[in-house]
Amino acid sequence: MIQVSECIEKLSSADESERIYAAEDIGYANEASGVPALLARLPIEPSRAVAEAIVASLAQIDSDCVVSGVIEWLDSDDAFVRNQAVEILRKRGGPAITYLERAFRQGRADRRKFVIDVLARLPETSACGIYEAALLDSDLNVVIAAVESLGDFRQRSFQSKIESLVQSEAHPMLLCACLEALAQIGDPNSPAVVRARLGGASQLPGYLLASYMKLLGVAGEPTDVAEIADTIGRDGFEAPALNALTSLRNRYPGLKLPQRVTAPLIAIIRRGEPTFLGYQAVRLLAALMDDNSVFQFVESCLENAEKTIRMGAIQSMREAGGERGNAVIRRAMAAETDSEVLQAAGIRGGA
Amino acid sequence: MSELSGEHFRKLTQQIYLRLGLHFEDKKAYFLQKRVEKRMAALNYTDPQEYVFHLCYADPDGREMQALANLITTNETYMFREYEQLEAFANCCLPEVLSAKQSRGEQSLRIWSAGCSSGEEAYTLAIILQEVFPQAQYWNCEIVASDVDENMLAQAARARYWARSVRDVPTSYLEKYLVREDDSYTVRPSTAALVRIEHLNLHDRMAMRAMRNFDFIFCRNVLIYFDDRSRKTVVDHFYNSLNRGGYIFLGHSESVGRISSAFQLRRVEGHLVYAKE
Repeated sequence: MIQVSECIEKLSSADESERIYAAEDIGYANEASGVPALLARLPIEPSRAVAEAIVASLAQIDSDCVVSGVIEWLDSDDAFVRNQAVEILRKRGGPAITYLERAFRQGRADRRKFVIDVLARLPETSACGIYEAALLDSDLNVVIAAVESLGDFRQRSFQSKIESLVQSEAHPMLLCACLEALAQIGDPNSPAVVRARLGGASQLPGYLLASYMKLLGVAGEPTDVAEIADTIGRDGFEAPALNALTSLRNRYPGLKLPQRVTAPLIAIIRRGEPTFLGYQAVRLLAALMDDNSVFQFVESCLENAEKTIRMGAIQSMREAGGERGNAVIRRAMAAETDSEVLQAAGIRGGA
Repeated sequence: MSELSGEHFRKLTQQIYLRLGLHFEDKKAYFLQKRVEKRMAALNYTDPQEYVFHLCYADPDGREMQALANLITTNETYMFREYEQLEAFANCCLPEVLSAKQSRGEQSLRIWSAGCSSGEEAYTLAIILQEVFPQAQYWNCEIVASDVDENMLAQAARARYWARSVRDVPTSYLEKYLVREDDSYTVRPSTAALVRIEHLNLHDRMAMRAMRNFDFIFCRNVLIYFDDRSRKTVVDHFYNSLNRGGYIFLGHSESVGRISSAFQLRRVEGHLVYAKE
C-alpha cells in the first residue's frame, strides 16, 4: 500500500532518485490528494528527470483536479511546462474539453492558441464550438492553429468555412494554412475555389505554390496534369510537382503525362540527388514509356548506381513495360547482387 | 498498387519516428512502400492518403502502428549487430568511463543488456570489454543480461550459437573468444563468466528499482515494441539505474531524446549517444 503523504514528503528529498520514485508512486496510488503537491513541485523542480516523472505521474492520476491544475500551466513562461501541459491535456481527451472551452473563453491569445494545440490531436466532435470560435478569433495565430488542426482531422464540416478564409487580401501564412487544410480534406471542389479567388499556378506567389500542388494532387482532375507539369521546371518546385503527379496517378492509374515532363524527370534522375525524388521520377516515367526513348532510359536505370533508382525502374518496367519489360528485368538481374533489388524483381534467392 | 508520394513518405516517417523512435532515411522509401502496401491491403485501402490519415489520426490505441512496426522491424539478433554503434562504445565511451573510474580509484564496471533475448549482445559486450580492457579480469566487472522470456534466457545461458549468429564477429575474435563445435560456436567460459543471466520484466517497477549502479545500459531494438507510456516509464527507470557519467544505448535508429529529455546528447565518432550527467 502506497502512503501518499510519505511520498509527498519525499518529493522534497535531496536525493534525485527518491524524488523520482516518490512522483512515480503518487501516480500509481492514483489519489487526487497527491495532485496539489505534484503541481506545486514541478515549477521549482531542478532535475529534468524528476520533472518528467511528475508529468508522467499526473497523466496517470484519474482526477479532474489534474486537468484544472494543468490548464494553469498553459500560461507558464517555461516552454517545458507548457508543452507538458499540452501533452497531459491531450492524453486526458474528451473529459478535458469542458475545461478547455472555459480556458479558451477566458484566456489571453497565447492560452487560446495552446488550447487549440491541445485539440490538435483530439478527434473530438464536442470541440466544434471551440473551433467555431477560433476561426473568428481576433488573433491570427489562433485562427491558423485552428485551420491546421481542422485540416489534420479532415473536418469536412468546416471545409466551406476554411474556403471562405481564402481571400486575396488574407495574411500569407493563413492562406498557406488554408490551402494545406483543404489539401488534407481533399474535396474536388476546393481547387476551383482557390483558382477563382487567387488564380492558378501561373499566378500564385511562390509561397503558396507547394500547397496548391498538394491540393491538385489529392483533389484535382486529370485535366489538372498540365498545370502541374508546367510547375516542374520552376526553381524549387520539383518535389511538390512530383508529389502532385504521383498522387494524381494514384487516383487515376492510367493517367498519361504530357511529353514535356520527360526531360525534367530524366534530369532529376541524372542529377542523382536526392534519392526519393529520383525514385519518384523514375516511377513517373512509367506513364511515358510508350515512347521508346523513355523505355530505353528506364532500362538504363536498371544499372543505376543508386539502388533505389534500380528498384523504381523495376516497378516502372513491370507497370508499363509489358513482356519486353519483363525480359529486360530478367536480363538486368543476372548481374544484380543487392538482395533488396533482387527481391523487388521477385527473385527471392538473392536475399 | 498506389505509390507513396514524397509527402506521404515524410508524414509516415515522421509518425513512425514520433511513435516508435525509428528513423527512416529516403533510401528506405522502397522498403517502407512495400510494408505499407501490405498494411493497406489488409485494411482494404487503395489510396496511401487514407492509410497515412489512419495511422496519424485514427489509431488512438496504436494497434495499426504496432502492426506496421512488426513489418518494419526485425527480430533477428546476432553478435556484433549494429557494429558502428559498438565501435563508438568501444573506442570512446568505454575508455572514458574506465578512465574516470581509475582516477577515482574504483575497480568495478557494470553493464546491463536489457531485453537480451538469446544473449548475443551480452556476449558481444563481454568480448569488447576483454579486448579493450584486458585488466577487466582484475576488476569487478559484470554484464547483466536480462529478459522476460525464460526460454530465451535458457538459450543465453548455454552461450552456444549457430553460424548465422556469429557471421559479423571479426575472424580474430571468433577464434579467440568462441570455440567451434561442428556447426555451432560456444562462447569461451572465461568470457561467458562476465555475463550474469537474470530474469526481469522491464514493466515490473519494483524489480526495476533494484537495478542500480550501471555504467552502461544497452536496450537495443526492444522499446519499439512498447507503447508510449511504457517506453517512457522504462527509460525513466534506466535513468535511475545509470551512474552519473554512464551511457544508454538504444538501437541505432531509435532515439532516447524522443522518449526522455533527462539524458544529455553527445556526438561520438559520428554517432549520437546519450549520457547521464
